[in-house]
Amino acid sequence: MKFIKPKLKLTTILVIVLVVIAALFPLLVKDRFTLSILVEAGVMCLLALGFAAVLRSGQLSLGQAAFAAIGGYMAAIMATKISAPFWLALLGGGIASAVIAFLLGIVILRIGGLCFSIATLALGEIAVIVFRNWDQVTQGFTGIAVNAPLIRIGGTVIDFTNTIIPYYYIVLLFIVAAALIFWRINQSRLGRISRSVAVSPILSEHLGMYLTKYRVLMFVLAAFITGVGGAFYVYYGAWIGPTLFSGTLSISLLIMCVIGGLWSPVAGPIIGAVIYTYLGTLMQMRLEGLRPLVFGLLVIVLVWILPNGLVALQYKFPIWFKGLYRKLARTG
Amino acid sequence: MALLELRDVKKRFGNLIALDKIDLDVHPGEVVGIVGPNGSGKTTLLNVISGYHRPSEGTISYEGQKIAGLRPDKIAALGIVRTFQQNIIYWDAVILENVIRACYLANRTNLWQSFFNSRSYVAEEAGIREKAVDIVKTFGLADYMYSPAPGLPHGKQRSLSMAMALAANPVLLLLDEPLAGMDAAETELVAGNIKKIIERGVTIMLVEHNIKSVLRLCNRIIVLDFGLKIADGKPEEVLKSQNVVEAYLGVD
Amino acid sequence: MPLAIWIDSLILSSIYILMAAGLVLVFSIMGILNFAHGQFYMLGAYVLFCLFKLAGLNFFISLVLATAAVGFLGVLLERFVIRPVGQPIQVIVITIALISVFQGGTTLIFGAAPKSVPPAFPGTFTIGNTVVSNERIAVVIIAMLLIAALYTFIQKTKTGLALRASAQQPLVAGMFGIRAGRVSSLAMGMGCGLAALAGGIMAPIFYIDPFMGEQPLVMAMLTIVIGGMGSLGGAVVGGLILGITGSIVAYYIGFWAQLLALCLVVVLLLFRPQGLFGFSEK
Repeated sequence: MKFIKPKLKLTTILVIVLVVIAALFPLLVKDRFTLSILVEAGVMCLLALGFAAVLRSGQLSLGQAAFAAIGGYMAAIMATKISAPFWLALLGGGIASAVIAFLLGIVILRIGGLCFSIATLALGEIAVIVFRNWDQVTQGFTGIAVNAPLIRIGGTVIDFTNTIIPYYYIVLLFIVAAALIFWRINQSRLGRISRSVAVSPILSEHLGMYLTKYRVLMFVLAAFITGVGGAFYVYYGAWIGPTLFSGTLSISLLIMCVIGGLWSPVAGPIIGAVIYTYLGTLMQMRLEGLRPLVFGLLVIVLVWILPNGLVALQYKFPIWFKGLYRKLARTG
Repeated sequence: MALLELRDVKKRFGNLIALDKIDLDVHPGEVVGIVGPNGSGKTTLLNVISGYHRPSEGTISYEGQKIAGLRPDKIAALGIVRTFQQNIIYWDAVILENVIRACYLANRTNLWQSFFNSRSYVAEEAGIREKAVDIVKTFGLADYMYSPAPGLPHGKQRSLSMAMALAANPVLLLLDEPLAGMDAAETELVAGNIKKIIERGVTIMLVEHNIKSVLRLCNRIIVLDFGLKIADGKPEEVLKSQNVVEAYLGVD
Repeated sequence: MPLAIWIDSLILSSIYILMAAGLVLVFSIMGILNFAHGQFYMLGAYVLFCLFKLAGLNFFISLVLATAAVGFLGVLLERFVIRPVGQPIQVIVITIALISVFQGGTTLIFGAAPKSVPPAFPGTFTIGNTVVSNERIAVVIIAMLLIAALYTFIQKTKTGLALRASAQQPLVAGMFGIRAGRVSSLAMGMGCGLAALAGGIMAPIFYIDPFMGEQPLVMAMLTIVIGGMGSLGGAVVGGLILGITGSIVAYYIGFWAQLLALCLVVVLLLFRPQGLFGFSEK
């Protein structure tokens, strides 16, 4: 019990510091390229957070990219067909994904496991086919072009076309919100139930937990956030087409979460997503053709040496951390 | 009216008949031992009652309500809790956390209240924690309160699953071979745990091979063989009966 | 209905069946679905390309060598790359990373542009009004023979029985099913070899490129789901179903066929999650 309070304090301070740094970042680093990587990483963070939540409830969802795409298309259609404002389109995207997740989930999450994973894989494929061919709605291969969001603060319209800084702040806002939500869930009863259901579903069922309900809950929540992320990304790139969210994206989320660490519901996915995106882009630029090979090998090596992800480092160096805890315990 | 009534219950797995025709009653306060040779259907019986399997035929009534084929979590909420032969626990958590998780059915506040840390939630959590600590101590696991579950010695792990079963507030408790693989000292320990549960007024159905313990703990014995009930009554009488001896030793 | 469509559907079915059978074998050893399985298909095709086209070896010899080489590679990978890893979730990640490794490596060596492998049985022959390529017929025949041989081996021999038994052993769930220590190199080698075989046979018909393993993998997974996780026989039936809906239905109603096939899979999962021949828990 002695170490719990200082740890919370340390973590809270750390988190606040990080958020402040992140918020100030664009003012110090004006390099558009770096910022663009960060925005991409930000969207990945949202997707990874959702994926991790589902994973920590015991299910491996290999179709998250489909939810991002569904959210993206819904937002694009709302923006172009009914001139929906930015926030509404994003909300619409999230809800669309959530609804699809709900319909699929209540049916497949009753069995869960491998069947579920493959069903999500199938969903991903189905989604791509539908997007490619349902021309009246999705414009097929041409995709849909979307105008920049129109947001006013006070009397001024925010400039989305000459700079990507507004996008940066919006995605940062989303990440903080999503992180808070998932963190709080993890602390609360739902987190405990989710863990129980993941670790020993049979036991949990016989202790009174309705497995499907809790799996669907996490699945739908994750889909919502993923849908919003996807919708945001569409605005960011001003376009959506069947190729925007690829199937490999879904699988990459797993790599991100494992690299970051699965013990943590928030820190792991975020760290993993940022590192994955950053390293990936860097390698793409420096190594070009070598990138897939080197990246793949790197991931394998990382899994060998850090099977529980980067988050687990704090347990590998307990002496260092205990020292910090003790210091904080003394200061109260 | 009996607490639990099974009428004409059969369970088939493809061509294999695990339960052939089971009629039995369990009354409140009883401690019923279920014995029989391997493969006689003892675990299947528990599975069918607890909802893990649906009976192929027949009805199961609990407190007058038909429960055959209900989901296990619904059946647990009604008051029927079980343990498992393989002794399933939460291997990712410490002992106290294991028992806290098992207190799921004691939750009254909803998920929103829990998310926003409402006052009633906080109070309820504190109460649950207290109850869990109490149960941990009752089962002699106080020293292991914050120890990871997988590290526990075998006998203590069984005590843990007993503790978790009790935490789920059972009216009827189904124990599946709780003494399997125990040495003398561990058997004493777990038998003591079972006694404590009996003292709390829980009705028990106990599947076991260890006849000595069954005689000690149970006030009624049911013998199964090839999915059929071949004896049902007071322990001494049942164990002396001809059918039972034949079932175990075979006919000459 | 045109003969060509029948042949195409049989070709597709053969790919799916061989891939799925291999995947089932590998699944029985590793306990999780090997996402890199499609890469063995691709590697089989490329090794055949090297031996058959570049080195000019006899087609069948090239095929056997390709199968053996890739099968052996699979055994090595399982032993040295995958077994040291503890939990299933990490194994899955490693198999995913292997996809990149193989695709990237192949692209580096051969370039990303599709290559063509010359037909082993050039020419065509005519049945009635239709002209059919010899290669395609040969592929169908070879594939059918292989599948029959595989089926006989699995059903009639002792080793086959052992393989079937280990494939059927119920796994708790995809994520918790690793069986460390009990490895049969034969099953692993066979599994990967089957994928390579499929790739090698198909190489002369389709263009080969480093990414050709992705589709067969997905279809193999869907095939297993339809047929049932632990069942090799189920893989055959599942493969036939998917292959037929894939091409025959596609002939009549276009792309919606693929959609149909996928929806079929999802619907099947609802009502019979263990697949057609799988084993149910309840």
